[in-house]
Amino acid sequence: MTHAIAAAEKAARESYGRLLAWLAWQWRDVCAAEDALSEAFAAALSHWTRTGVPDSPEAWLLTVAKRNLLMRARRVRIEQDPKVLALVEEPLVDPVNARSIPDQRLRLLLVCAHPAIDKSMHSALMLQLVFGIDAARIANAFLISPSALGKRLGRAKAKIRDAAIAFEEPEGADLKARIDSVLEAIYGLYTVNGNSAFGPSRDDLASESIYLAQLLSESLAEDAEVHGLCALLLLCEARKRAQVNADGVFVPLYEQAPAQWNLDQIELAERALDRAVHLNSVGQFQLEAAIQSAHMQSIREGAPRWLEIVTLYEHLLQISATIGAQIGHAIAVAYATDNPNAGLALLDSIDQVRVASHQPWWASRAALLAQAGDVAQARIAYERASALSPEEATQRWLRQQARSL
Amino acid sequence: MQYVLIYSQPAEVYDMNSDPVKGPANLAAWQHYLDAMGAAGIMRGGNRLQALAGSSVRVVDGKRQVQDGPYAESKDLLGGYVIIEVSTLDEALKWAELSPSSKAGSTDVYPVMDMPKQ
Repeated sequence: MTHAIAAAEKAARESYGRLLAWLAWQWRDVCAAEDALSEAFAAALSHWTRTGVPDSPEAWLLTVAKRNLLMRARRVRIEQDPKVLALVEEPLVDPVNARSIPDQRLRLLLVCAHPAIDKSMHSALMLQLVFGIDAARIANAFLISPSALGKRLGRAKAKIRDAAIAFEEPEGADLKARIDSVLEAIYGLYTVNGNSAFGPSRDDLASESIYLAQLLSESLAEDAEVHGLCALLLLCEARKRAQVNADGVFVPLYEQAPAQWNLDQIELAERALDRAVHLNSVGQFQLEAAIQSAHMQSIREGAPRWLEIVTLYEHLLQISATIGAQIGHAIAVAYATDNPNAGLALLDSIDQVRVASHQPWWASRAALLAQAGDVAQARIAYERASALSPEEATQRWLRQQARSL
Repeated sequence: MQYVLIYSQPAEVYDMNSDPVKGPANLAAWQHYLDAMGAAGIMRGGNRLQALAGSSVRVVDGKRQVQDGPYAESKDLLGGYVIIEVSTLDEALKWAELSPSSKAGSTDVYPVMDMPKQ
């Protein structure tokens, strides 16, 4: 019983997006593909508990989902539709090697990034439709109500079907704009669970997002930002093991032991960053990767590079003045000038409404206040940061910092 | 797959069409555009409309209200529409982009709903 549930969950986690993309691409209807696949997962739960888990759960799910699509097609009487016939004639996937299902996720991601779909929905749509992330979790990350998000996701999916948005790769300037949307969503996939440069990385979504970024970098070798994103994700991931100590307490970057970093991932990241730099086109991900790389090199060499990091942040702020970039810039300025008050002034200049419940802002502020000698205010800021932190390891570290003042 | 392209432009553009100097050039651009569509074999219907002679009807509290001009609040007036048959939204959007109304005003693209034949 539990084995069947666990197997279905594993299949859902590992192959949901690939199965959905494949069905949607064949069927040209994301709504029908989504319904058919979720019915197949429901059927798996009741079947597998009785008959045992099949050798290839993916092939089983794909077969059942296709049957669901055919039954639906018969119900709406389009028996002679060539799409239906193509599906019937297509040979069954080799049950031993279901991994041979071609990865059509990139196509589906590009469909989600079509300019005729509300731009603010691009990332959410990709996360839910292609990566199977629960709408409630996305709503939380995007700070909107789950029911509002659900409605807008439904409208976007219906538009893909009803307006017949093509599953073909776009060309030229349109392709570039859509790739940028896709890269944002892959980065969103890495961060949706709280993975970031500022905290320990969690669960297999991280490795999935790196896999997708690498897959993209092969087919879009001339796009500097694809390599920039690869580099950024790999550098964040390389530090994973060093980010929490044996007592389950978060370890900030400058206190980490570089020996615990994953050198293979760092080397891959540096190579990706090199490729990005040689393409002579600066972008957000490339700059963020360069900043992480500079941090890590200064730690390994024991020689701070704060001036270089400040310059990189200045370029980044010109392209994209996100809250995260503004906070990073403030910290870098404080260290480069050896003046915590300069950093505090920059932190205070960020839109106060937007940072009031932003954990990294409070944690950064606390650190700079402590350096400036304002113990009372620093303690308050550490406590605020701790209360806002979803991560237990980070909470523990923040409380330790407050106590040690 | 059928789409309706709806052409909207500001009133000044329609006024200009009757201008002896500027009018012909503008109308020639439309003619070229419609000819290209015809040559592509995708036209399934359409009409040019008297954009400046439209009226708008609304029933408020059970009473009919008639207004001069189709949309009092919006500045673009509906000047015509065509129905085209292409296979994807991108093709429809490309035809919309080519329309003179997309420079002077805007072109809306709607997929036609498939109705089951009774």
